Amino acid sequence: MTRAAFSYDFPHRHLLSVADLNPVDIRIIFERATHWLTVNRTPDKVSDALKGLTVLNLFFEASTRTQGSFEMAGKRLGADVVNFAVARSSTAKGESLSDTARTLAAMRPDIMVVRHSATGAPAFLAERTGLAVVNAGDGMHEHPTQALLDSFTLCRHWGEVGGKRILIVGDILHSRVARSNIGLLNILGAEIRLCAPPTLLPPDVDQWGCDVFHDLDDALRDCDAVMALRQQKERMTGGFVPSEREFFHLFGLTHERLEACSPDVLVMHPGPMNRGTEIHTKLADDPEKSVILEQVESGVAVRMAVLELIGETIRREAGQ
Amino acid sequence: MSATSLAIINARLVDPASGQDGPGGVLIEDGVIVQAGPEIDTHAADAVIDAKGCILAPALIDLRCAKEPALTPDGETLDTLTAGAAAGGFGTIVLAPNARSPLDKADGFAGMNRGLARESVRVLSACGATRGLAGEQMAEIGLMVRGGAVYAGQGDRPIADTRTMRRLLAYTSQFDIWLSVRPADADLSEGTVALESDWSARMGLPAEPAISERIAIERDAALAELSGGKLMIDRLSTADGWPRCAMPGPATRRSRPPSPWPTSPSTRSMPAHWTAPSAWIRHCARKPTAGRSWRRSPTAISTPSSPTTAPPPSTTRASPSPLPLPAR
Repeated sequence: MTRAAFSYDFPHRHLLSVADLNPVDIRIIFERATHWLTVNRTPDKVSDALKGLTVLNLFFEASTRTQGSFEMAGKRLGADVVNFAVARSSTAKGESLSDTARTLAAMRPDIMVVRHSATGAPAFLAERTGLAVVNAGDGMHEHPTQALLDSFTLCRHWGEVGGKRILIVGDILHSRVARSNIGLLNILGAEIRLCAPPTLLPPDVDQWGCDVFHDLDDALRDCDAVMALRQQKERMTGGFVPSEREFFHLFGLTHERLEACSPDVLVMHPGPMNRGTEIHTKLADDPEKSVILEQVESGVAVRMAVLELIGETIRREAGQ
Repeated sequence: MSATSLAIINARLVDPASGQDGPGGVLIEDGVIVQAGPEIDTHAADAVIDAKGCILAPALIDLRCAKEPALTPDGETLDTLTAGAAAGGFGTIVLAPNARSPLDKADGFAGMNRGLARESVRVLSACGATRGLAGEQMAEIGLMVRGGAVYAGQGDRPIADTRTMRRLLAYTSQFDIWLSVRPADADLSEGTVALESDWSARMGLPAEPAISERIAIERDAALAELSGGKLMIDRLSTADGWPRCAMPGPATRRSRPPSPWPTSPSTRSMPAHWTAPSAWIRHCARKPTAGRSWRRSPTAISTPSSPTTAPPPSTTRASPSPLPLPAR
């Protein structure tokens, strides 16, 4: 029992979008994640919180780190975890998403963790199957657990992210990480800045509750944290920037440029990272500033918290 | 050093910035204009020039120059180019990309500009917008802007791909520089040597229709509105394209239907897209023939006429001219 959960049950059986969460939900997730982070650092990691439940990892897009993180989270909670690499099986044989979903649902898993290249696929699966669904990334739309783990990592340093100034720099147009982070940081009351060439910004992005910059040095002024994003070449048709070299000169993070920030600035990256394109290799490895590996560690803890809380909802609904 | 002063009087004084066009002169002290207008105090001047019958105006700017040793009889150098510019009343010239010199490499761009700074007239440079001016991959515009490029251009090569054009306008908008393109629908104009007309038909020439230009202007203007980029329409050559460019000023624009694109007051205001290109178009419109030869006759441009009364070209490009366009 956490403080926030004392008089309030985590009400969600899905995590499809950060917009579904309110600040109390987020606080409950963070309190549980803090608990699991501590547990994960001990040699006795496995609990039985999800014992008896089956978690299905359904990845229609290739993924190593997110799938591994979810798999580890499920296993450490005592769930049965099954990985379906759908990219290489039934879809390739021409099966529709709807049929795949119904087939898998007939196997009676409890929670589906879904990644898909199309916006809305996890919501579609949730509706079609009635199963609990966690969105592990849908196209360029949302990646809610990534946003939760980013804010959680920052909260570990600052206590809370409200009132802090956070810059997201890089390929925002193709980034579901950016969209989820903008949503979550707005809920949590942070000041959000975006910096990218106009070709890598969504239209009307200035109406998303952010300040938009094209000049990195202006954007970095007095920032408390900076998140670099990779150019998502796999989602690009044609060139959005002239070269990686030019991108690095205009938008690459370096120690020198970070001098405009708060002296305790934290540097984040959701990975995979392209050193020398969006971030200087020395900065990525600087333990004083870079929290990139902490983000990965937080990822497992946050995903454990999400799966655990959804498992509780499933049990509650089943009358257990 | 003692102060030297020079008065120029009895000229036709033309100053587009203030709208001045009438008899007048200037008083210059130590290289700085201290008086300008119809009445000049000549008593204090060390020297007085009577400029009766001449025009006195701010030095002209040539936005598109090229050093073409192979195409000029005397083997042009930068020195002869700048000397020619100075003789024609040009105080600033811009070396612009073309097929022989695409200016699309960021390496050495800043160094080239430092070298240019030593010339007698101000020599600036523009950069190529796409690699090899092929209209496909963006050149390293950002690095070249840092190296001194004043705008990005495409020479006489149109940009066929609409998506590339959109991205170029968006990308250049972050540096607040102009994107200069030749208005031509690439497919309609490819391989043509004349403008489509009775004349081109009789001569059996592969010809481009005048609407090729109009289509490109309308496409590019719409993309400029969408992206907030600054569009410079270069090498306008048809009467058909003219009215689509010449809509400067808020008064004209108010009567137009509202833009379908959301534009907030904080985005670049629309007239900015038009003011300078229109000036530039007026500049181009008076060129005697299409293409490079315009650069060789600066007198045609320095002929005084108020920009607002400059007539649009009333004839199409090919009919009066015996010169077919160079094949692209």
